[in-house]
Amino acid sequence: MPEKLLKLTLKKFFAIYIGSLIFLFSCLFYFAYNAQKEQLINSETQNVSTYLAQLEEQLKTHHQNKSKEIKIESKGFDIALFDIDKNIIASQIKDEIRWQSSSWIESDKLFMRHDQSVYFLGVKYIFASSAIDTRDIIIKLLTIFIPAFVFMSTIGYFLSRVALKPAKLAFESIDTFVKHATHDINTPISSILSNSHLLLQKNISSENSKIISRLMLGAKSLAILYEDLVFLSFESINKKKTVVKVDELIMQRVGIMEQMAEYKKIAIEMDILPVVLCVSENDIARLIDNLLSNAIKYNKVGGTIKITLNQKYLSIKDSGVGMSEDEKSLIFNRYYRGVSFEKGIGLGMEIIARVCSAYSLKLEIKSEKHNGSEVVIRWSESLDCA
Amino acid sequence: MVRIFGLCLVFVIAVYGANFETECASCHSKGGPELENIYFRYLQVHGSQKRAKDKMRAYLLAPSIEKSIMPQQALLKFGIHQPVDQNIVDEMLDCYFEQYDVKKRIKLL
Repeated sequence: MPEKLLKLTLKKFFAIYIGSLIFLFSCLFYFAYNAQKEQLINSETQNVSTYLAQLEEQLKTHHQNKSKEIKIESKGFDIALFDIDKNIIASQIKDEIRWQSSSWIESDKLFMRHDQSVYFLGVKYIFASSAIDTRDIIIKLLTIFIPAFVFMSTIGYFLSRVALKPAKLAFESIDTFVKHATHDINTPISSILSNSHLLLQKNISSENSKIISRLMLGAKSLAILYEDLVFLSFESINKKKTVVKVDELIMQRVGIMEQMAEYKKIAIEMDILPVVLCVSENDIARLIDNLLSNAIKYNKVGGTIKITLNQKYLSIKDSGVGMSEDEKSLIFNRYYRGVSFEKGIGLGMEIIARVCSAYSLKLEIKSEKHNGSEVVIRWSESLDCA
Repeated sequence: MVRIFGLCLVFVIAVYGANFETECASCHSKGGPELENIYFRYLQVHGSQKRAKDKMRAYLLAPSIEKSIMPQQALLKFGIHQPVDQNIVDEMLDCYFEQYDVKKRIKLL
């Protein structure tokens, strides 16, 4: 569990780091690209301006020479010549001319206009356009940004591992401690239970027998609480499924709980048919224990519990305090306890919900205030071993 | 039909050409101001063929020093143009501007 948690934390940490890095690099790329593009545009503007000045000189020379054939070299630019009435004299530009602008950029092309003050060859407006090729900028930036991104990601990965190492060590230390501690708790509980059982078999007074029974009851409650805590804290849902005879498991768990029921003078009725499911025995045992435990805890003295099991569902019905609709909505909250004076720390329903979710069991709770509760667990055919 | 139209067109062009030769070129080529110089001068001053043609038409119909755009030296040397008959001025100008049209001369490489 801690290992999984750490891996999950590492993944989340790394995902946030990578996300931030992508955002940062995207911003940097955007600004660098725009700066480079602007530089390219400035450089190209200078080139086009120079060319336009040269072109005017060419027009002047041809005008003065009254050349029969006026050959104008475009030198890689597209040019267009217009008279004062904006009629085309000659043009290589296919794009729309923006008469209101002296320069503009459209479709990655820079357009510039030069107005002749003296209309050589009857030309008033000269336009020249040049392609702004940003592919080189993109390639140049990518050759810088991609290795930088990979480098930063690698650094981030190792940093996150280094940062989480103390937490991992702490987790391992706690895990080892708790495993040892739980084992150390389990041993005395088992010892109390077995020795109490032995004492009960001896010829002792009725008063002593009652004391030992209460002692056993307390120890059993402690054992169940211990198992619940271990289940919630250290064990995930067991993926190893075996053939479980649910009817026999219920009998076994009722046997363990019987003493608690007797303490409240609760009668347990059973209508059980043989049912076999492919599940983890431990998970289903936790489910049954908690359902029975709740049915006993929230029952009245001298009440009843009816357990029904068939091929479709398991139902545990009690004659206890019941719940209002508001209370029903709260029972799955961790540490919620319906009746505060009862034993328990409010983990039962969370365990029930977790097991139901893991095996896709349908959980129905029918309850009425002061009129008992019924919990019905239905399963699908996928759990059948057949 | 097409042949007849073609022949007529050739005839009209030949007649106009002959008129331009007799009415304009004959004088300008014999000591008068060169027609090409005048064409370029008008283009340079007025900035378009249409404007140049309109101004030249106005001048030819009623020539005056004020309307002339030629340099003073040329005016002193050649004087003011004789008025041109209104019936032929447009034909002459079309022929003249067609002959020296800069659009036909410009080639973008």
